[in-house]
Amino acid sequence: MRYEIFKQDAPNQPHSNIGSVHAPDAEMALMHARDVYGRRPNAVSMWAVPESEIYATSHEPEALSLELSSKNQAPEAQGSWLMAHGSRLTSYAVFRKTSQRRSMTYVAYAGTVAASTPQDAVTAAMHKFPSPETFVWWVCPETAISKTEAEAAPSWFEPAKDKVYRQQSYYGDVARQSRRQRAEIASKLSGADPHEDA
Amino acid sequence: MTQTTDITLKLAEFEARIARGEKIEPGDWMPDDYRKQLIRMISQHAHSEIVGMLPEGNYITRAPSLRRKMVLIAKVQDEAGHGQYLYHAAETLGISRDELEQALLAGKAKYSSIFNYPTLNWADIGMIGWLVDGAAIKNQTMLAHCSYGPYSRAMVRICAEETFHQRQGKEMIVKYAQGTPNQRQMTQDSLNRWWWPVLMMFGPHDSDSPNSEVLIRWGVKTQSNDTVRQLFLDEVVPELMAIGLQIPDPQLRYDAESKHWKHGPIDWAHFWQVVKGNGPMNKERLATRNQAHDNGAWVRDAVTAYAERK
Repeated sequence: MRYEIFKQDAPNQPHSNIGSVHAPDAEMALMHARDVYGRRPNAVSMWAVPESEIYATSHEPEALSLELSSKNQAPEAQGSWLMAHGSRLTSYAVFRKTSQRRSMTYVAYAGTVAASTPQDAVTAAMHKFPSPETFVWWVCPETAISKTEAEAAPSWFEPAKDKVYRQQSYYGDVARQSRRQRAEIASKLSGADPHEDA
Repeated sequence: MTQTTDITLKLAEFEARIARGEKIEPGDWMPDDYRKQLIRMISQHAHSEIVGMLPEGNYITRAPSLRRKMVLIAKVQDEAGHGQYLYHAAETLGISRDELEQALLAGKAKYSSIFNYPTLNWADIGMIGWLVDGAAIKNQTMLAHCSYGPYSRAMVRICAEETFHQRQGKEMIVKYAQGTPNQRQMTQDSLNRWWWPVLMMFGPHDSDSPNSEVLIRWGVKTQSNDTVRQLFLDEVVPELMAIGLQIPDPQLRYDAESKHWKHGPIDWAHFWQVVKGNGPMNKERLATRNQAHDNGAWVRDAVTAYAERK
């Protein structure tokens, strides 16, 4: 099964979608997510949601009238989605993309709404989380989210902090040296053939 | 409205969005050819990350110090992760991970030809980090501005991590180029073998690159092959010269007027031979990848059985 993964970089930041993993269950999905998306020390929590539980809107100029399309799903799959989730009032988690500028940002967690269908959840989200521009909405039942446990988080994410050799800053001398070398050679070049120079 | 005008309108709006600097996201309307070209590029890129683990992975047991070993393991892990980011990006375009994986294992998928050359000495590990990853970063920095959201975001993350790869490689080469006579000779030998394949990594000259024009108009690529190759050349030539290495190109020269380094002719006949599967390591890489996949079958079976039993 394919799970969408949401990573939280710091306690005061929202969980943001960073990609997906394939796993037979949510527990394994979170373990894969840690290995794939948590090799650098900028994670404090991760969420995994089965792809089939997510209902998404896509940007279309005429879709301002709330025309919805389900992400990567055929119409019959949407039908079975509705059958599986029924029509009682459910708490939906809402994720949205509100910027075209920040290159790393896709959909980030906004909060929850209560609704009986995912379509209604998107409509409710538009009222509850107004923003000048929202390019993508994702909603999923809150119960579909599997989360890393707060007590276990340090043992999951802190080892990455000790692996300083993974950081480009660890090689700061190399970068400074490169700039110096380029500057030296540039000053030597006076249009002469460098092979003759040597 | 006829179907043709409908598509013309959609295409106009699509191109206008790209011109405004918006990202195209999964589920948005896109021309079939945009989807097709992206799947081609992203899958090729993903496979390159996966196959790219092989030339370096075989040196993990032979790293000369614990520090170098930890760095190399971390780097190879990163390449595995990068493959996963990219398979994810390809999947958002409607192709399954299974299809992608099967195409690679069956030898039907392309990956970067640079990984069809052997790693013959320890300096090759540094040279791959500095030059191969350095060349890849130049391409990836350009692709980070790509109009397709998932590909662009994967590239931003990959570039940040690859910078560590490039710097640890350069650190090694700078040290060995100024080390013992044996180390210096090993390093020069490595540069002699990798220089030309690295220049080929940027792809055919613009005049022979049939896909480039439409890819640039749709913001998939934002710079041409030759432009990116030139950026790379201008960066690394002075740095290699500064540490006393000889670049194996007798025609390499500095053009004072354009302020660019100019390389001699690239052997494209050789390049196409390697692309077609006749490089020194094509068969070996594919066999090793298949073997690794087969050896992992019991793990896949076990996790599936565990999930089913719960």
